[in-house]
Amino acid sequence: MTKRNYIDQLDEQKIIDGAIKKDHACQKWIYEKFANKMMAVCLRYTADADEAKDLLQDSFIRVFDYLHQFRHKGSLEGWVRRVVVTSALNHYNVSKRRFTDVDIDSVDWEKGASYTPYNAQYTMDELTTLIKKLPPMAQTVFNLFAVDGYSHNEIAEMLNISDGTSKSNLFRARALLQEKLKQLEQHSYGQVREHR
Amino acid sequence: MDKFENIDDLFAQLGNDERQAPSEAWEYIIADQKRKRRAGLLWWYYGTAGVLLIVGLMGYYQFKSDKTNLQANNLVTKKTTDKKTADKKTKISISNSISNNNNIIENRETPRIIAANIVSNIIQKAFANKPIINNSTAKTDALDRVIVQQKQEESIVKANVPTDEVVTPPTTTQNNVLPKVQEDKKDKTIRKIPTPKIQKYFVEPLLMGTYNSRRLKGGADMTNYIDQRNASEVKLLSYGVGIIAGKQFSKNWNVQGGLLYNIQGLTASYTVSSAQKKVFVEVDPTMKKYDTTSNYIYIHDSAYRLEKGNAINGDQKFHYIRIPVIFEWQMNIKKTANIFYAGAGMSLNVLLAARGDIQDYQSTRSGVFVPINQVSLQRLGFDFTGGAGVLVPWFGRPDWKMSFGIRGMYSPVSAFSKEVPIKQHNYSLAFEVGVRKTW
Repeated sequence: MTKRNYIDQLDEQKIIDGAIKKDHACQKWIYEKFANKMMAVCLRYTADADEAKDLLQDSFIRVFDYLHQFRHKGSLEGWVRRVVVTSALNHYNVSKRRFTDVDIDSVDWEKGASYTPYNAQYTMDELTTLIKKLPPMAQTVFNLFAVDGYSHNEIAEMLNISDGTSKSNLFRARALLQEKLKQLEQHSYGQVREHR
Repeated sequence: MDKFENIDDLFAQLGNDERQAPSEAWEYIIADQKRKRRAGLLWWYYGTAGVLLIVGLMGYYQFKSDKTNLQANNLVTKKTTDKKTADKKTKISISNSISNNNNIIENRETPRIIAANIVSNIIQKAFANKPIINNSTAKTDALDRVIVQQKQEESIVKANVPTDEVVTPPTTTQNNVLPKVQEDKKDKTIRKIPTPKIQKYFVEPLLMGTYNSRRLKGGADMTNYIDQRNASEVKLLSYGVGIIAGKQFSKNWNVQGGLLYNIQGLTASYTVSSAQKKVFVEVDPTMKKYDTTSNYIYIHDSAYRLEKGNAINGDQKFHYIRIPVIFEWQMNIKKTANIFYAGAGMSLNVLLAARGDIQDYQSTRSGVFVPINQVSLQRLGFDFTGGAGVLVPWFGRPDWKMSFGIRGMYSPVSAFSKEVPIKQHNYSLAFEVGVRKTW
């Protein structure tokens, strides 16, 4: 039996224990299980694939450094995802001056609050690209709130901003995304008409 | 067709998204773990070697010092005994008796010296500010006691012997008896006048506050970059700790070595006035080669070329361990006085870790955190050091001193940014405080 087959037969707890003891086979098992999902997370929080790769590497180095702190209160995937998100935010924290706080009064609340049914016709690539076109703060807050499911309180704490700033950035992000989705739909509609 | 109630639900799908992770990422993670392990081992190696060196030196000099003391004492004993044998022929019985008694004392010299050493050490510790009592003083006191005892015995013998049976010794001899012994004693006393003991070796743990700066030179096509860095870098006060041990090889000179750890920090803030050409490079697998070059340390794997107008702000930290060899000259060698010293030497420096976290927050690459700097720095090097200070007696204790000093260090370091070599000249000014224990 190869080591790889042997690892596959172990339960997750034993693999985690092995990874804590720096067993490369166990670490690789964890990496391979989550790397693709985490790459998608990294791509959402970074500007390009190169930076996403850097973030993925740094995140997994942290995962293996701090794996002994995993308390089994949730899934391992959830914990790994949290480490990745935290690593991404650390990058933002050191260059926090990039963030421009949006005055809450300047947000177009109507646009941000409007609910419109959306067709599931967009690919993941298209959605990711739309998020990346947002201003950095709005992009981060939207990622954290809408995709990763953090509350405004948690976001405020993670980004060291106020709840109000978090909410205003979320609404701003929603408004901008609606605009961009409209543009995308019109563009697609135009292309269809030209084709006819 | 699926419909989503709101925009959040539409984007929430991204939570389940998967993308192909780059294959080289895993190799990088493993390489990083190996590098950390190597760095950890290096700490252990140098730490253990340093401790063993210090302990070995202390043990060696302790042993050597004890051996020298015993040899010196035995030599004195032998000379005294020979002299007494020569004089013995001309002495009367009473002087023979004294001589015999002296011989008994001399024959017991070694255990007595050891005992006297212990006692005098205790006395020294108890009365640290009083004049030093060493073993020769103790021995002289013992001789005084014997002489007094012999005088008493002589008077008893004279009183008890009948007058007609008294054998009057020759006048010359008789007159010479006590003076001879006293001369003997005087002779010994002269040879054994307590002289200020040179404390042969010392150990000193110390703390350093270090003020660092550097100048960069060289690098084709990098003039602007070099000038900007030199003009903009701000010196940072950082810190260090260490332990040094030394041996006094003459009254005024000592040689010392040890282990010093310090962090050299720098911060920089400037705006790029022209785009760099070869300084910062995109993520490139060929850069890995620096990771495997043993004599160079890797700072960061990725860096981006900076465009004109970018504002830069960031910190760098270099973690150094140094093994110095320093020759020190001391002035005013007195146990209870301030001793001024000046020293100079060289040290081997080992760059344990280096990190250049510099952000480019106005980059055209929106939202990009840019870790940049020289790709690699020389891991092993030498630096030149010189300094001066004062040793202040610590609460009147002759073998403990506080040291306050200032030390300058210069080290030229080779660096590479991809294929472009740069010379980095590090300058440090350290303020030191230590406690020196001497033996």
